[in-house]
This record gives sequence, structure tokens and C-alpha cells, in this order.
Amino acid sequence: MAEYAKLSFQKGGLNKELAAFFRGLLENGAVDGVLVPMAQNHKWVRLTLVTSASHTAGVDPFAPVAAVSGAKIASSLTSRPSGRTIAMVLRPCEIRAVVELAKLKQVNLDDVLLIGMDCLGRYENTDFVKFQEQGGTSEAFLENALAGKTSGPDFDIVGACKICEFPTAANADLSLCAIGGGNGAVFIEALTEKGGQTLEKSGMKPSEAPAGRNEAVKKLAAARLEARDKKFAEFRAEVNSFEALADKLAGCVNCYNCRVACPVCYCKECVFITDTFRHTGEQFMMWAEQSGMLKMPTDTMFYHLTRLTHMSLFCVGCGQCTSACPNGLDLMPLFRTCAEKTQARFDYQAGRSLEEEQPMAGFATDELIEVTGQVK
Amino acid sequence: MAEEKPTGTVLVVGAGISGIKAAIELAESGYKVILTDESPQMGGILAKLDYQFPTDHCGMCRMLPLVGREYASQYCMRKSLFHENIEILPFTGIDSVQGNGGNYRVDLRKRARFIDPAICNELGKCIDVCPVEVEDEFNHGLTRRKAVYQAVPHNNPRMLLIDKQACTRCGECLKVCPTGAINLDAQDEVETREVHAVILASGVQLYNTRDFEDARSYAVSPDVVTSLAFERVLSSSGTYQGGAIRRPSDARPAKKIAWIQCMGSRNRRQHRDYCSSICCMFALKEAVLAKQKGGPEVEATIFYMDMRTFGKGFQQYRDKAVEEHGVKLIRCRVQGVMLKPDGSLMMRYHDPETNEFFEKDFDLVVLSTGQIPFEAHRRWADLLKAPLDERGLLATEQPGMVRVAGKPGLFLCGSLTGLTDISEAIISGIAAAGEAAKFLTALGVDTVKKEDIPEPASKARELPLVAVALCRCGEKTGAAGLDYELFRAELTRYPSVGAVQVIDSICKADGEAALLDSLAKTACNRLLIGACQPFIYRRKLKDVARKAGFNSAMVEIFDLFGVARRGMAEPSAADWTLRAAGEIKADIHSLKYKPALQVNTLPINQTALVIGGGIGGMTAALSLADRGVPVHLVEKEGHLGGYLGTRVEHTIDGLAPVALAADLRQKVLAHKHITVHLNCEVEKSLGTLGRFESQLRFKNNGENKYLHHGAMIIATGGREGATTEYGYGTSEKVLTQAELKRGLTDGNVDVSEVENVVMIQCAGSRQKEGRRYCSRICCLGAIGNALEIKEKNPDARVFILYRDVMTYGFYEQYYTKARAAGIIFVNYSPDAKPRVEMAEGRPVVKFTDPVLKEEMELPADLLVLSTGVDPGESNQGLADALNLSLTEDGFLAEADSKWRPIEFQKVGIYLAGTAHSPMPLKNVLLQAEAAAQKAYTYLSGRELPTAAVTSMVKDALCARCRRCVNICPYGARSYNEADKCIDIDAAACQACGLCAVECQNNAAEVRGWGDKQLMAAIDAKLMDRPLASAG
Amino acid sequence: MDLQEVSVKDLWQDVYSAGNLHYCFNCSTCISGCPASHGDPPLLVRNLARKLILGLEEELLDDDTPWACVSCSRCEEMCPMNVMPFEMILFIRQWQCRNDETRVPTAIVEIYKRGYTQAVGVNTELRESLGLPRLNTITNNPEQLELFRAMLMKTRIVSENDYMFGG
Repeated sequence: MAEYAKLSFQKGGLNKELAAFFRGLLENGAVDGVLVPMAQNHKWVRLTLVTSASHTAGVDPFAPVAAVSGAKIASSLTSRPSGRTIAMVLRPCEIRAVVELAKLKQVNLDDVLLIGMDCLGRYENTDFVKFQEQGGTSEAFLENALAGKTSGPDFDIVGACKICEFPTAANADLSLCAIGGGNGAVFIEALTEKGGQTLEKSGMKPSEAPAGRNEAVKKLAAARLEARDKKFAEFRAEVNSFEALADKLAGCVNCYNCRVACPVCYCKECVFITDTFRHTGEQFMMWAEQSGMLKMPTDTMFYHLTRLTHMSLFCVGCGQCTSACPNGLDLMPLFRTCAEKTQARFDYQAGRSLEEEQPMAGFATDELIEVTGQVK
Repeated sequence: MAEEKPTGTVLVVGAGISGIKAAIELAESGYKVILTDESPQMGGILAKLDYQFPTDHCGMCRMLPLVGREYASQYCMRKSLFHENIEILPFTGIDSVQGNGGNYRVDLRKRARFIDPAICNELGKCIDVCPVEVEDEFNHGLTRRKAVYQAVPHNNPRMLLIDKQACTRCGECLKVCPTGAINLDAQDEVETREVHAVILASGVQLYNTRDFEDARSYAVSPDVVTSLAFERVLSSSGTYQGGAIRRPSDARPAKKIAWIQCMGSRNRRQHRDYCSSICCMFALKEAVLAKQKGGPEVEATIFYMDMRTFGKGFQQYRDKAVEEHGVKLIRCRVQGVMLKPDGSLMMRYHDPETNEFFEKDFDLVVLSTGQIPFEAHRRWADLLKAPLDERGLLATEQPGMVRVAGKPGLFLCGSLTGLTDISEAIISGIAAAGEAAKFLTALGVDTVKKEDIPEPASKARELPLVAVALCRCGEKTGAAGLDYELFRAELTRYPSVGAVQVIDSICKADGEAALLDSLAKTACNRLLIGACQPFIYRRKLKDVARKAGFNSAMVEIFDLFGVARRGMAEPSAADWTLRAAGEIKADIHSLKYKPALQVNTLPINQTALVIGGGIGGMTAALSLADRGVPVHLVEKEGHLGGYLGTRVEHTIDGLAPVALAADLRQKVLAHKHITVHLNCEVEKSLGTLGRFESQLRFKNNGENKYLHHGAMIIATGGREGATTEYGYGTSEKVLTQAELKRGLTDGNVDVSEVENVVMIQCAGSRQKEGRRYCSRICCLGAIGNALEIKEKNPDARVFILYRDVMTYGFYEQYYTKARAAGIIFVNYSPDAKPRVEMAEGRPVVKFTDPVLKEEMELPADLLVLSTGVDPGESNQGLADALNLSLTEDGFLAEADSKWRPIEFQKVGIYLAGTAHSPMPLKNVLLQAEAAAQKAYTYLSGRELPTAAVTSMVKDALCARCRRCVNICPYGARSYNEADKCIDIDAAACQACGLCAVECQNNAAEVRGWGDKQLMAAIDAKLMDRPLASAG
Repeated sequence: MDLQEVSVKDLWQDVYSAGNLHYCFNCSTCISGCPASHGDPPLLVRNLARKLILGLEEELLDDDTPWACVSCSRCEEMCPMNVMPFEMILFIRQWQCRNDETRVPTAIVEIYKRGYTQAVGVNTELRESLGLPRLNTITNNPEQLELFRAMLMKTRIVSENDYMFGG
């Protein structure tokens, strides 16, 4: 089995080489379609489902943007499967969300070839526009980011990416490796047998492993982990009471954008838009009477607490919630600090493995004995 | 006009597990039950146990009915039981039983409690002032109580009483009692009741260290306790806070704990030559709990003679106790316990593994004290003028069964049928109820008729307006000082409350009339009633409400008395009246948003399918058919009879399987309600309780037949175990126990000349490879065969090589008899199995004598292997066809090994006999009878109301993630592959709400417990405590 | 040992007549608290019963341990099967003497040496801890011991076997 293939490129030619690889996949019938970030007519880069080998020219998988979590797209494409094989090029956090959704039966991985990629971060959508306007290219971004520089004049990668300890893809069949490949080269790594076979089929020549990769990945992850723990400590110091949390969330307007953007929040109809939260005037009056006043809309904090209860076990830390907030609430640190505790309690890590059962998705009689009071 | 038939009434004596189970079964079948108990509270021994093998949790509530469960209160059974057809009379003895089958007159002696529970407000001021302290028998003297007391601390209602012996009549309690409930001159009341049948479930006495001579050598200190007392030491509600394990003498933590088995049993000298049957598992469970609760430094050592792990899952539990929990087992009966000057307990024992003596100190010694059956049997025999059998037990028509000989309409269950554990107590309780129900059917008495009150429309869509009716029960709440006018005024303030009525004694006829009268005038569409003991009056009050035009779903009842009692802590009547009003806000708000509910009915196809035409299957089929239920009996062979019924003439305990099977076969074939299907197996079965469709496939011609039925019983039996060990198959002198049995019966094995016979037990059993379990019947089988050989040829030497002689209960007497007959028993350990070599055409058996530690060898004329029982070949196929699961040993997995031993998660399918696990015929018959009764409960009616409160799926919201399917502990949810949706078995669903909690999509919901309703109730509760920044 | 060579069924009946010895189920009660089981070799009552049941005649004949029994009778009191172990020991002693006229059990040698069959005084420390006085035993009194030995010498069983008693 081929483990690596090398894509060497001239300056400015990375996407062309990548396009050739995807074209190969389609031409050789390795897959029926490829879901890959692709430059659109004007300034955007969006996930695009490509089925024709002649339409691969605009691929731009390393573009530092993720307007919509690819996991949500994966769910749309496969929850009622087409019966065709699709390669999906997704960021590590998106793949981890896909893993969670697969366990929740919201993604069907039967006919999917998952292609991961090294992720050095993404910009907010609006910042990405600025980045492009200033002549930024994915190739340049990679080169700078690998040298430790991700920021532009008045923007930087999103907070979630700065503290993401998972810069490389796990649970994928193939991975596009930019870290540790040296100048002018990107490697394609086969992580599974299926990935290896696909790589052979794509017509790529096997190569040696990128020499400096392990070391470089380790170093990057360690730096991110340090940043993460620092962020957690800051956040916990800042939000250390119910009141502080209420302050933090006071700007919420119940638009539910964060819920829509969250890749693992998969409910068909959220309880918050059901009758349960359509209160009567009498009810509002009674609440108001209790403390003499009532902030409207109500249930904003309750909404976030509910989402934390439902989703923190599966939170992959992608930061889409923060990106989606029209009022600039930075929800990501809240979710990640909370998720760290809830996931640790069950020795669970969202996206780590397809085999691990999700906590609380089974009936265990001897679980959480300190809560249930059962004798162990 | 048709003659009015009397309502069938059964007296059940004894409210332990089996009595309660028998009572519930009969009540569910529509008969009236009077359930008495000698003790002041019901529950029997189980009231004391927090944890039961094998889950180490309590599960008593699993005895409650699953379908139509609104007829009984769904409530912790260790606290109390309520069923509308059961009249519970605690502290009531039986003075005499007159009359005969179908017409018994029983004198019940209701002992004086000296406190009238109808008036007592349970606050317990009398307890505070009582100056007398005595040992508390509930905690086995480990704690003390007053002369005024509550017999079981966790019972609810509290039901206080006065201990006449201890009471000094000082009168302090009379002074403080606010309700005048105490009467120190109260007398026992004797009441004569007429009943059609009587079930005795009184249990048997337990060995008591104070009353028996041997105990003096062991019970040398307060730190030597009985196993039941240790249960109280372990209990969270027991003697020490949080159930820490401490020694009673000085409350220091107990780290080294020893159990001594067979206290008072397996003892010829004391004329108790039987095994108490339950103590081995009891001790293992206690040892495991002690390790778990006390931490790794706790040492648990059990001194035993034979570790009798014969039941389903027992051996695995033992293995786990030893291997995972580190419980130490030492095969040695110690002579006594020595109290050392420093208070520690020293025991000297011989360790057979090292062949050395040890002297070891312990902090706490637990005596596994057994059951003592004879006195209870003698007492009943005297009272009933019924004969005792040669063992000194009440004679039954068949040994160990439930029908008392010569006394139609009189039945036994529980420990009176033998010394039983929980599951057997349950099974015999159901079987006794079944026999009683059959008896009542034959008598032609009626079941309870319900007043048919039509269900009014729900008005759920109108704007909610709640009427509140408060019962002013003069003696209880009145005396507690509730200000009803203030209460009414406070409640009327709430916008959704339309009317508040205060009515005297709603539970009485006048009160009911007053309530109807006042409700007739309101425009309210929902009703909240405040009354005492709502779990008792719930159904009656709902009937009244229906008469007044309120749909049952729109009515809630709250415990006004409980609210009132909590209020007593407040400084003034006004304060606590307001507090009480605050307390019920949540009920008002919850009621406001309560949706309309309707009770669905399951149409019941009143036909049964019995799978397996052995003795168990035929017994079950006849039991149902005799009650008029049409039965399909399916047998895979070409003839009825099963394994035992075609091969075994006699069992050691006096049953005659072949004759029994012949008799059953004749009855089955002649029965107009039974259709027999031979040579076929059940290929597939679909549906739920009341409407199953099963596909039969005929072996000979491959044809299919489809049957429709409402319930089914699996009685498919097992197989003779196979082995390749010990030279089996290499010589005709090596045979299995079953082959020997057949040979002895048909004369093909001649033992008149044999010199040496060696039997090896557990061939291929109780080991990691092969059968992990004990087959339960082989020790008895070997002993039976050995005795038969000895009878035919007294000069033959018979050696039985065994690991633990599993002659539990009264079977111990056969073990004793076998030894007395000169049969030599040789213990071997699984690490040093006997070896067999062939020499001169004879098997030579080599083994180490466990006593002399010497290598022995013996050429055997016959080598007989006890190869145990294998699960039936068809089990896997059957499990697949019916969507049931198997245990890892390949037997069918019941719903709950202790509390629902013959049921499955899926309601409507029952289990009897060896399909469940290997067992003696006696147990097969009991299970068959019990399974028939369980099925009959549902098959007796054309339709069955399911509970109104069950879970549901809002299909449009469902994301099909199936988390609810995984989490449902009752197996009520399944994913329908064909329709791609979640199906709910309304009969199996117990509305526990786990699915609703688990569903992130709000698609799963328990009817009547919607989010909005709960949120409103939570809101109301939080009203008094506004959050810092709500919103 | 080849059990074929031994006669299982009769031995115990020759020796023991206090009931059915076969009731014994080797529970170890008789040995667990037996004071003579401390000895060297230990008296193992249970093993004697086993030898009787298995018919190990020669082994039993050579067995001196029955003579170490101190007659405390605890085994008899506690035996759940009522097989009368103490009686059994007496029966074995009688049987041994019946079958071997020259038999002079080592126990008598012990008695000759110590004045007791057992080493009395093993509980000295325990007695002290309980505040009990030191035992004034014959072992501690050489003069009395000599007198006792002289008395023993006059018995036939000792005088005829005086070589065993140091001449």
C-alpha cells in the first residue's frame, strides 16, 4: 500500500497540482464526486460538489476559510445517501464533527472517502475577503503560517483555530499534508487501506514520507495546546459566576444563528422554537412580578445553557458559533471550557473515534455513581 | 334477572415477596385479595435489604404490574403497596381457618397498634417524648428504638405503633398527641372473613443466634452478627450513617470481615439436615458489597463447606467475586470464634489449599444464618388440620408444589414450598396465584366489576381554568392548624384558578356529594384535589371527578396532608398556610398545561402459543386451556413429552416424569381448547402483546403455517450436555449420567457384578471453556443413580468426585442418604481434575484425596460423567425469531433475574423450564404454572387498557438517531427498518422518561409530561427564589 | 495409592460402633479448633475418619496421632453430622491395641518424658496477659516427675518395653 505521494509545485502552482490530483480521482473512477473548497466567480471560496473531471480547475482546499461547516454539508449529502461514492475534502474539525454525526446517524459514511488536510487556521468570512483583496493566496498563507505568521494588517485567524490542538486530520482515508513537507511540496498521506487504494488509483506515484513532518506537527500542536490552556484559564477567571456568565451572554437576541452554524447541533426542530417557549402574557407578567422587571427576549441564557447541556459532549471546537453571532458574542471559549470538563468526565473526546459510544447514549446502571447515589 | 355471582376473594397470608407477588397477580386478574402479615408492616425480609444479587441494587418495584399499571400505585415497594383490589392488613394473625375449598371462614386477629393510623398525623411527637428504649428488631438490635415506633423506618405512610411489652404506660405520649390517636387500652380485634381460597405465604423462621445452642460458640461478641443484621450494617438507611461498615461494639471501621456459612443448617445433630439454599449467594453478595463499600483494604473471607452456586448466573457471580473483587473462599467449617482480650475475633481454620492451620483475627464476623422451616409447617398443619409429610413439611399434592394435599383451595408459596431465593419466591407466588385463579374459575365466582363511568370530553383546548378542591379532614389536617380561609384566598389570587372549594372528608359519601354539587356549578375545566394519601384514593377521586364531568387527564390529586405536615415547621398557621399554598403552585401550573390523554386499549387475541411440548409446555398449555384459553402447542419432534417425559422414569424427589408426561399428553390431546402442532418450529414471530403473528415451519414438508395469538410461552427445554473429557467415547465403560440412568431403567447397564463405580461431576461444567454455569441437576442425578446402584448391588463401591455438592434445600437429605449408604464423596478442585487412563480395557481414575492429600488410583468398572445440561439447539433461532436475547451461556435472557424471572422485556412472552436455565422438574412445573398465569392475566380479557401515560414520538421532529432505542431499559422502543421510524410498544413502555431526556430533538415525549408543563411547574417552584438575573 | 488393594467397605465397621461414620462430609469442624492439631505430628481427626472410610487399614494401624487427643471433646460437641469424632478416636485406640499387642504408642513415651501427652505450657504468655497464675505442672517439678516415672515403670506396658523409655 502506498503511504505517501508527493505533489511538487512551482511557485503559484499548488492548486494546479491539487486540481490534477482530483481530476485523476474522477477520471480514473476512484470516486463519483468530490466535495472540495473551490474558488467561485468572484471573491468567495466555497465547498463545491464536483462530478466532472473537467471542472476541477478552481480547487482551493487550503483556502483559510470555512463559511459553513463541511460536516453539515456532509450530513445533507449522505443522510439520505445517493448510492454514489463521494470524496470529501474537509478540515480536521469538520471531520471530527462528521465522526460525531455519523454516530448520531446523521451522516452515512458507507460511500464516503474522507480526505483531510492540515489546517493552519481559518479567517472569518469577512476577513477572508480582505485577505483576498490584499492579494492573499492559499499558497502564501501556508508559507507564512508555517513560518508562524497568520495575521494580516487588521485581521488574524479566528480564536478557535489559535487554540486548536488538532492541526492534522485523523479518522480520514487520505490527508493533504502541508506541514513538514518543505518548500514547493505538499504530500498526500494514506491513513487507511481504502485511502491507499484510492491513492494508487489516482495515478499518483508513491513517495517517501515527508521527513520533518512529525516533528513540525508535534511542535505546532504543543504551541496550540499551550495557547488553549491559557485561554481556558483566562476564561474561567473571567466567567467565574452565574452573574458573570449572564453578563457574557447579555447581548444575545435569540437569533439562534449559533445553533444553525454548529455542526453537531443536528435537531430537526429546536425546542426553542416550539410551543414550549411560546409563553402566555400571564406567564411573562408572573416572571416580571418576581423580580420587578424582565429582560426581553427571555430565555436567552437558558438557551445557551441548554445548548451546552445538549452539545458540549460533542463539541469539536470549530468556533462556528462565534463566527455566526451577529452581536459579536464569543461563544467558542464557553463551549470549549465546558466541553473540556464534560468530555473528560466520560473519558470521551468528540471526534476521536467512530467506535467509542457516545456518553449517555446507552443505559449504564453503574455510571455517575456520585450523582445517582448507587453503590459502586 | 341473572343471579349475582360472588366476587372471588382470596386470603394471602404473609406479605413477603411471594405473598405480595401472589396478591398482585390475583388482583390483576380481577379478584379481591386480603393480604395479611403478622408483622406491623409488609415487605418481609426484603424490607431490610438495600441490595440484591446479582445487580447489587434493589429492584423490588419491578414486581409491579407493567400493563394497566395505573390500577396500582407505582411506588417504591419497600415503602408500601397499593392496589385497588388488595386489602392490606398488617399486624394481623390467623386465629382459625374453618370450612373447606371454595368456602373458608377465617378468623383474623388484628393486633392492637394502640395508635389509630386513620387519625395519627405521623409527626411522631410521641416518639420524642417516649422514655422507653429497647433494641430495634428492624436493625437486629444494632440500634435502639422507643416503645412508640415505626416498624420499618422507610415505610410510607409511617404507621406508628406502640410496643405493648416495652410500654410502661407512663402516658407521656397521650399528652403530646395533637390528634388523640393514641389509646393505650386498645384491644386486638378478631374479625371473621369469608374467602374462596387461601394462599399461605408466611415464610419460615430464620435461625436466630439467641435461640440456638451452637451459636454460643460463634456469637461471642456484638461484632458477630447474622447475615441479615449485616445487611442493616451495610444499608444506607441502616445502623451507621451512609452504610459505612463498622463493628457494632465500638463503631470502628471493620476491615477484616469473615462469613461463616451453614449456621444452623446442614446439621444432623440439630435435626436440620437441609441446606438453607440462599445463604451462599447472600454471603457472596455481602462480601462483594463489603469490598465495594469499604474499599480495597477490606478483606472479605467466606468459610464454607460447599459453595452452592447452582442458579442462573450464580457461578459467574462467584467467579467475579473471587477474581475481580478478591473475595477469599476457604473450604473449612470453623469450630467457633474466640474473643480476644483486645476485642478482636480470632478464628482458627484449616486451609485445604495449603494444608496448613491459620489463626486469624477479624473485626467483624457474619454468620450466614439459615432458614428454619419445620415450625412454620407444624403450626399451619395444626391450624388447618392438614397432614405433614415424612419430612415434617405440609403435604402437597406433588412434592414441592403449591397445592396442599386434601385441601382444595389452599395453596402454598414462597419459602413454604422449599427454601427459596427471590426469583423462586416470585415464581411460586405467581404459580400459587395461578392455581388459585384456576380454582376460582372452576368455582364459577366472578371478578371485580368496575363501575362504568363514561370518560367526559377533555376540554383541553379551552383556556385553562383550574378548580381546586381541598379536603378538610377534621382530625388530621384540621388539628395541624391549616387556615383554610387564608389558603382559599391565597389560591384564588392565581389568574388560572377559577374556584377553590373546601369540603369535609371527600373520601366519605357526604364529601363526595358535596364535591359533585360544587363542581356542577363551576365553569372550570381542570380540577386539582388536595387530599390525604392520594396514592390510596387516587382512583376513587378520579371516578368522582369523572362523574362531575372532568376528564381523568384534566384531574390531579396532591397530598394535602404531606403539604400540611411540612408546614408544621413554620412558626405560625398563617406562615405555613401561605407556604402550603406556595407548594401547590407547581401542581396548578402543571395541570394548566396538561394535555388531553386517552387510555388506549389493546385488542387482545385471547389465544396462547406454547412453544415446546415437554412436561413444562404441556403443563402451561393445560393450565391455560382449563381456563378456557385456546392454546396452540408447538413441538419440534413428532411426539409430545420432551426430554424428561420420554426418558426418565423417576426423579430422586419422588416425581415420575414419564408417567406424568403420559398423563399430560392424554389430557392435552383430548382437550378441546388445545391444538397440537408437531414436527415444526417457530420461524418468525411479529407483533406485540395481544396481537402476535407467528410463522410455523414444518420440518417434514417445509410448509408454513401462520398462527395468531395474544401471548406466548417458551418452554423449549434443553439438551443433555456433551463432553470429550475423561476418555468419553473411547470405552463402553465410560458413560454419561443420563446414559447410566437409561441403562439402569431399561436394564442395559448391569451393575450386579460391578466392584468400583466412579462418577465425575462437572464434566465440562463450571469452567471457562465449555459450560460456565452449574447445571443444577447433576449432583442430584448422580446421587440418585449411585443410590440405585447401591440398592441393586450393595457391595459395589461408588465414588463421586465432585467440586461442590449442589444439593441445596431439602435435596441435602439425599446427599446425607447417599453418604449413609456408603457412597464415598471425593472433592476435587478445577486446578487438579481427576485423570483417567485406560488399562486392560478399564478406565483407571487417578485423583488426589482432598483430606489425606494422597494420590489415589482406582480401576473403575463404570466411569460415569455428569455432563450437565446444554442450552436447547433451537434457542438461538428462537431468540432471533422473537427478537429476544440469550445469555452468554445460550439460555434465554429473562427481563430481570430476580424480580421478573419468567418474563421478557417484551410484554406478552413468558418463559418456563430449561429454556430459562437448567433446573429440576419441580421448578419446571412451578415456572410453567407461573408462565401460564402471567399469560392468563392478559388473555382473560378481550381488550386491555394500556396506561394513559406512555412515551410517544413526534415523527416530524425525529432525526432517527435511535438514541432512545438504545437507552430504553424496557425494550419498548425499536427502529422500524421498513417504515424508517421509531416504533413504541405501548404495553412495554413504563413511561420512565429516559427517552424524553435522551432525545435532543424533543421528538420523544412522555404523554402528559410535556416540556411546557414541566417548565411551568419548575417556574412555579422557583417563584419564591428568583434568580439573580433571570432571562 | 491403589484403592483397589484396600478393602473399603468393612474397616470402619470393625473399628467404630457409635453409628454411621459415613455421615462425615469432611467439613473440617473437628480439626479447625482441635488443641491436639497443634501437635507434631498434628492430630487430624477428619483424616482418621477418612482413613477408616477408605479402609486404609495399614496406615491407620501405624498412626500414632489418636493418642495425642486431649479428650476435650470439642469435636464431638460441634460435629454437625453427629459422627462422634471423640468416640471414634477412642475406638481407634482400642482397635490399634487389639490388633497389635506390642503396640506401645509414642504417646506413652511422651507421657514418660513430660508427665503429659502434650507440651503443657504453650499458653504461658496468653495466661500472663489474662492475669492468670503460672501453672504448677509436673513438668516444672523434677522430683514429682521422677516419682511419676517410677510409677509408670511399674505398669506392664512400660516395663515390657523399657528399651523405649531409655532403659
